[in-house]
Order: sequence, then C-alpha cells, then structure tokens
Amino acid sequence: MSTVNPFEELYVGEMIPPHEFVDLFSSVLLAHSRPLFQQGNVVVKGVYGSGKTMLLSLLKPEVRLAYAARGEQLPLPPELNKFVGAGISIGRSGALEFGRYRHADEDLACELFGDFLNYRLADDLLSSVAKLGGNELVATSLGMSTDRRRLDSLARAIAGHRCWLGYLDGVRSLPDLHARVDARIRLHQASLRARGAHPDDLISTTTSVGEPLAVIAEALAEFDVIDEQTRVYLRIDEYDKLTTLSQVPSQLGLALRSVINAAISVRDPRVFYRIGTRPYGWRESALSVFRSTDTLMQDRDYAVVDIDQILGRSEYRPSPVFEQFAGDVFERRLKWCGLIAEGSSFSDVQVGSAIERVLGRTPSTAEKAAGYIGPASTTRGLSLENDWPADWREYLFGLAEEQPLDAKIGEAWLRRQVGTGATPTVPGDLDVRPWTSPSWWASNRRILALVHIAARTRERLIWHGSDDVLRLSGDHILAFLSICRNIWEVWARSGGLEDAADNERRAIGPVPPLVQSVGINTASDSWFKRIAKMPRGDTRQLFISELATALKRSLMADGTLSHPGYNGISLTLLELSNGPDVRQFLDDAADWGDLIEKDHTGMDRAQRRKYYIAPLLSPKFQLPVERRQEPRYVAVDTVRRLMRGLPVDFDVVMGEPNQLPLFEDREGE
Amino acid sequence: MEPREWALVGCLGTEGRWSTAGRILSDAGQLADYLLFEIHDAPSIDEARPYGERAPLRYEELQERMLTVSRKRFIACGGSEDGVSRQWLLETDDVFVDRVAQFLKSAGRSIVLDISCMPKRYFFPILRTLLEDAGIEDLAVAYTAPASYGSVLSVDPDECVSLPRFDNQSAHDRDRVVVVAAGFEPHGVVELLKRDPGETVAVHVMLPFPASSSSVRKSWEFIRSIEAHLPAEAKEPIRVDPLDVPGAFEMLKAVTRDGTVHATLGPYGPKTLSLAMCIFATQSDRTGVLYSQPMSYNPRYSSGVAIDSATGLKKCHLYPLRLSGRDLYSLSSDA
Repeated sequence: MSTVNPFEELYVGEMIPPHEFVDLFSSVLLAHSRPLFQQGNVVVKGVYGSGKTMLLSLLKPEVRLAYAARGEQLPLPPELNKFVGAGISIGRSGALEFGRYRHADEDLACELFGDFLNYRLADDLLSSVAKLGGNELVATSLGMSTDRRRLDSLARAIAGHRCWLGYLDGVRSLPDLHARVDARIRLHQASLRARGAHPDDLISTTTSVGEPLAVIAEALAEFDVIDEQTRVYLRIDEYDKLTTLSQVPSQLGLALRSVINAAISVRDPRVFYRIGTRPYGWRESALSVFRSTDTLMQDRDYAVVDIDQILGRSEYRPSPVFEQFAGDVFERRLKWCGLIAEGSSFSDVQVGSAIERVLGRTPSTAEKAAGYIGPASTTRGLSLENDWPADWREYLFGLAEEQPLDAKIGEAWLRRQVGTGATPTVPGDLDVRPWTSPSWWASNRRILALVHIAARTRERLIWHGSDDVLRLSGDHILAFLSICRNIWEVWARSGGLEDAADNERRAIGPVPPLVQSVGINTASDSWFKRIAKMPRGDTRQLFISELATALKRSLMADGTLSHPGYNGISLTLLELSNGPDVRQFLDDAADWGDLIEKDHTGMDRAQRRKYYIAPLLSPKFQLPVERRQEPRYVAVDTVRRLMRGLPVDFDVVMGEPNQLPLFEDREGE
Repeated sequence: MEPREWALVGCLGTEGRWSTAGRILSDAGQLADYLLFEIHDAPSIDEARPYGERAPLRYEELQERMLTVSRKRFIACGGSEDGVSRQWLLETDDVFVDRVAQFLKSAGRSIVLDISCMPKRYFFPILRTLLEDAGIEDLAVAYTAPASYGSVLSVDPDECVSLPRFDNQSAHDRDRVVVVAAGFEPHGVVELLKRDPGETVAVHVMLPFPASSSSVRKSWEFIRSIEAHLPAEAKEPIRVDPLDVPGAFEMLKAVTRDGTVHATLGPYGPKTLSLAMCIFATQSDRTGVLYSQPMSYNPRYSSGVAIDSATGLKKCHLYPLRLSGRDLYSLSSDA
C-alpha cells in the first residue's frame, strides 16, 4: 500500500498545479454554482480556504488544457462548457499599487486604474485565446480558429478601434499587439513608481473601463476566432484586497472598487465578469459606481455564488452539501494516491461512503459519557452537593450506573431547582426523569453535560468517527483536509497502515478511535498555530485564546447548565457600528475562518451578530462544538479587552448588555 | 573617503542603536543637518490616530512611553524637535518621501541614510528616491548592529504585497527568479513563492552566514518553515555574509543575469541584505519586492549596540553607494 499521505498537500486555490487539479477538483459544488458558467456577472464569495479559488480556477485556460491533456472536457454540462476565461488577481497584477498612495486627483487615478485593468485583462484574454486555440481538442469544442493570418487580422481590427484613443495605432500583428499592451502596462508601473507624475500620453489615451474588453470579445466572434456561442468570462480575484489591506486608505480603496463596479454595471452582453472576494470585501452597502450616482444591485447587475451559503453552516450538523463535498474530496484524494483503483468507486470495494468506512461511526453522546466514566466507578462523573436530600443522591447515583449522562443532566436540573428554593419530589423509578419535560430542555444540555463529565473525570474530550470529523470541519474544506492529514499521519506513525493490505480490494480502515482522537487534537493545535501565520493573525490568535478560555471557564462554573449556548458571543449591530475597530477585527476574523458568524435576532429583540470560534479549535480548548440556544451577550469593550489579551471573567458583571436569563431556552434551538 | 559634512536621514526610535550613527557623525564634526522620523504604529492608515476609542495595538502603549523618553533625551542632548517628523507606520509613502524631498532642498549634497531602526516600508522608497536624485553627490547608508534581539520582533504582519514603489509584476515574463533572504519571521513568504501556471520560477534562498549561533538557528527555522514550498534545488541555501552588501548585490546580479531576468525579492533577512535588494531593485526595472509589513513592532526589538571586541568600537557600518557623483553599484558587468 502506498505510504504517501493522501492529504499531505493542503493546496489553497491557485497553488495547485493544473494537472493535479483534474484529479483533485470536486464537482459537487458545481451543481450549486451554475450562474458562474452562465451569462451575466457573478460575484463569488467565500472565506479563506472555503474552495472559492478552486472554483474560479475552472475558468482558467490552463485548467481546461489540463483536462484536454487527459482527453476530457471540463466537468460541466455541454451548454455551460463553452467559454474563454481570462483574469487577474488584484494583489498580484500590480493593480493594488494604485491604492498605495494618496492621489492629487483621485478621479484621474480611478480612470488610470480602469485603463490599467483594461490592458491587463486584454493581455490575458489574448494570451488565453492563443493557448486554448493551440490545442486541437479544445479548439474544436470551443469552435476556435487561431491561424496566424486570422489572429493578425484580429489584432489589426482590435488596435484600430477608437476605444484605444489611438494608443495602439500601427499594430500589424498579434505579437505587435502584445508588445504594445505590455509597454502600456510598464508605462503605468513607471508612472506609479513616480507617484503621480503621469506622462501626458498616458492621460490622453486613457480608455474607459470595460469598453476595450467588450471590443475584443466582439472582434473574437466577428473574426471567427471563437464561435458566437462561446462566452467570454473576465475574472478579477482578490477584489477584497482593495479595502481590507491595512496599507490602502479605505476611501481610496472604495473609489478604486467603484471602477470595477462601473464595468459590472454596464451589463455588457459581450463580456461577463467573475469577481472573487472574501465575504466582507463585498458589502452591499458599499457598491458605488464610478462617475455615477447608481449603486450595483444584486440580481439586476450581478448574481452571487456564496460558497459559505452553499455549504450552509448549520447550527447542529454539517450541511448535506458539505458532507457530499467532503466525501467526494476524500475519495478523490485516496484515488490520487492509488489507494482506490482509478475508475472504481469506494463503494465498489466497501459498503458506505469513503469517510464512513475509513473513520467509522461517531459514538452517541451517551456512549461517550460512559467512555469517560469507565466501568469501575460509574458515579465519578457526578458532583452532588452534600446537603442534598439523601433520596435524591441515591436516585442520581443509581441512575448514573446505567445512564451517566442522564444522571449528570439530572444533577444540573436538581441544582437549579434547589437554587430557586424548590424541593422537588424524588422519582420512585429510575425511568422517570422530571427534567425531560419539556424534552428540549434536556436535549439542549446533553453536549454541555458531556463536557462537564469529561472535566470531572479529568478526561480530554474524545473525537472520532465521520460525524465528529465533519462537525469539527465546520463546513470548511481546508479544515476537513487538515483533520484528515493529521489522522493519517498518526495512523502511519502508529503502524496502522502496515496492517492494511497492499491490495486495493481489501478494506481501508476504520482507523482506530484513539488514533483519530490524537490526530484530531493535533489538527486542532495546528489550526490554532495557523492563525498567527495568516495576515494580522497574532492579535486574532490572542483574542481566540482569551475568548475560548473565558467561555470555557464560564461554562464549567455553570453547575446548573443554564446556558448551553454560552460557547459563543453576540453583539448588537448598533454596538458594532459604534465600535468600527471591533467590527473590522471580527469581520477579519470571520473572513479568515477563525470565527463563524451569523446574524440573529436576540431575546432582547435587537438585531445582533453572533460569533463562535472555528469548530476545529474546540478540541484544543475543550469547548462544545454544537451551537445551541442563545450565545452570551457582550459589549465592544469586552472584545477590546480580549484583543489585548486581558482576562475576562464573564461571570462578573462588567456592564454587559442585559441578557434575559429566564427566557434563554427556546425549543428547537 | 575624504571628510564631508553629511545630512542624516534616520529614525528617532525606541531601540538603543537609533542614535549611534548620528552621534558618530556629530562627534566627528561632520553632521550638518538631520531629519529623524518618529514612527508610530497604527492598525491601518484610516485608524492612524492615538488609541482612545479603539483597542491599542500590542505594543502601542509601551511604544508611546519609550518614544517619549527617547525624544526627551534627544532634546536634552541638544537635539531640535524641528528635525523630528512624526509619522504613522502605515502612512502612504508619498507623505514621508515628500518630507525627505523638502529636507533635501536645504540639506546639502551629501546624505547618510541610517536604516538601523527604519522599517523596510520606509527605507526602501526613501532610498530609491535618494538613488534616483542626481543632485545628491554623496550617498551612504549606515547600519548599527544591536547587542541582542528581543524574543518577539513584531506582530500582525499584513498580507504580502509589494513594498511601496517596488511593484513590478509583468504579464509576459514567464521565466522568473525569486530570491528570499532568510530571516527570523517567515510571514507571508509562501505568498512570495506562488507561481502562475506556465511560469518557470527559479527560487534562491540567501542564508546570512557567518552570523551568531542564535541567528543562524533562526534562519534555518525560517527555511524549514517554508521548505515544503521550495523546489528541490532551492533547499540548499546560498550563504551570504550579512555585512557584505556588495557581495549580496553581486549574487543578485548573478542569479538574474545582470537584471535581465524578471525577479521577485523577499527582504526577510538582515537589513544589510535588504539594502542590497533595494539597490538592485531600484536599478532593475524587471524586479519587484514583496514583503509582509507588521502592524506593530516590539519597542524592545533589540537592545544595546554591538561592540567590536578587537577595537572596542560600536559596530556601526557605513556603506557608500555614491561618492562624488559616481555610483558604486551597477547592474552593468563593466562597472
């Protein structure tokens, strides 16, 4: 059997070589992102590591050529397959340089920015056409003709169009055109380095954003370089960098973005834009259009493919789409390493999905509780007060022998009753459990009770099985792959791989639970360390550490299990708007995948946003993953304190917003 | 080098070495004028205001206190606040480069740029401006080595983007060279190593050597942290004496065929190697420089000044770049 770890390479988007892309790309998301391959402009949103860039990569000519090298088409229905893609990344194309200094004439700077984008995209579009046309299979499928005479005629026609204001006059061939375009780009770069001393010939020949690209697209069809059904998609990735980079004045960043928005707003049927951005880089409240009072409107000007929404970060369980996505990625990785024969499916060899067979079933909460306690002393998970009635103590000890988890919940319920001065009657039968009415009260507390049992028995929370792995992934494919990598590594180190047959017909796995648990804890530690390796990550790491510690402390101090939802925090939108530094910090953390955030209406009827640490961090901090009930309400000053690494005691009143304790339980949450 | 009267551009900082070059010039009677930047951290250009209604950055409070102490001592020693320019770390380069331009109008034609405590996002565009100013007859760069470094140098590096005025991404250069100087903190280096499909990228790692054992250890840790992203041929680094700026410049020339090959440089190592990269990138219009700018520097980035055990003198190095109008570094092999 191959000893290579199938999950060793955690590619992030564009770093994946095209020939490996063909093997590793999962088409599960394609069914949910059809607008990306249809007419119209599309904005693709997703946090770091969500799969956004992989999806956009499907538009790149190199990827199509990689499929063609295998004799395959792109994994799309035929009617969506006919397109030519070109594009740039804001950060890597030089476009960002326009935002690095304050311009004396900001409008002129915006116009020059638009011109720069035109030339950059034009250059890439022409290169893409040449690349694709040079491959017979691709050329046939796209109806392309790229003989030299045709391309030179095309170049002359393009260059002669008035949209270039004469800058490309004299171009005789495609190589001429490329050279002239490259010279223009270098002229911009030299002008930017000089910080504002723009040459007159640059200013006098500034093109209008988007127009030349539409001209090129039209010419491609007119000269039969591509046929009329072939669409032209122009990709602008890292749109968010114009406003999230700390070194770009935000006003200037917004102005430059408005130039891109202007190209989108035209809704030119000859070209379609594909904008890649992290979520907070695309705010509906900041979509102004350059030299217009208009703003972009979703559905009218663009459609949205929101990876995070597609993957649906559910409160309780991984979304079905993510399960399918992760399962497909998992199986592809195993095939890539030869652990499954090419052309076969995992289910040919083993029953069930690949993840289920390799990782096995996740035990129930009750089974986990029994595991922490062990057979020797069934009551060691309980912490009963000495002054509780003897009959209640006897009842709970008796229940703990069979159902330790239920006994723990019962303990919490009784503590709560006693705390209010009530003296409930002890049930006469172990099968009678007064805390199960209403039923959701107990079910909402099962996870928290488990955490208490683990703490009481001085055991680390155990995670293993397909459900746990998917839950800890938090609908985040990079997190999922990180977990798998670490589990595989531990498995290999423990000699487990040696036991599996060197024969693809023999079942792989299941990986022993203890191996998985060790791998998951390692993955959690690595995920935490990773935070500081991301941009502006040191403060985020400190914040996460302090927040998680404070939440854990508070949850453990809650012997009545009153607030199972207090593994997260919530702030009102008003508070956030009054604390822009906090808002930006939390937005950043969500964009980088360190926090999960969601809008909600609080018990106080206020519009709020709630935040939870990334699920994969839960093992490290021994926090429950499930997000139930109302999170803890906090103020911006508390967040500032956590950002500075100052301890916060949630159980000491610090002027926090009034959280109504009597109504924290709601059925079904 | 015959005696001159120098105008100094440097930083008033929190480290002990910020004033060494200035003092040496002053004691020798060769300091004619000075412009010192007092640089304050800020979370972004827009948040460039004292913390009061926002969370301070990690070191802001300590930095404010230490800068105040430095400033008071400077004045007590006869320094003038007129020569001090307060700026934000993330200020756009046009602002502080413009300040230098104003200073040059009356500063004479012999300039020393002290980069000892100057952030790279400052010294790169400033040095570029000085090198491109034909009116400067003599130009030298000073660097004072510290006695020791702090355990944490900086926090919260921003995304890896070009240093101001050093962007040069070309659409057509499919052959590219990447040179990374190994340093203490590899923030964003992986971004530097990304390549587009179809690009042929040759990667070289500069290992500052000889150096102190702790520095060498940290450099190797740097290399190990990016090893998975390095091609096989780059895993054996090129050893470069960190004080040998001409040697580092020649190395850059060699791997880029005298600047004819498009290059991306990552100045993560010692300031002196960064100096070589700055000189090179200024002369080569095919070279860009990428870096992850920290949001906040540890005011105790370093302590003390290194002393040469043989002479007892402070280790303040002066690198002439132009003398009597003649540039000493050139991409041309005939130079």
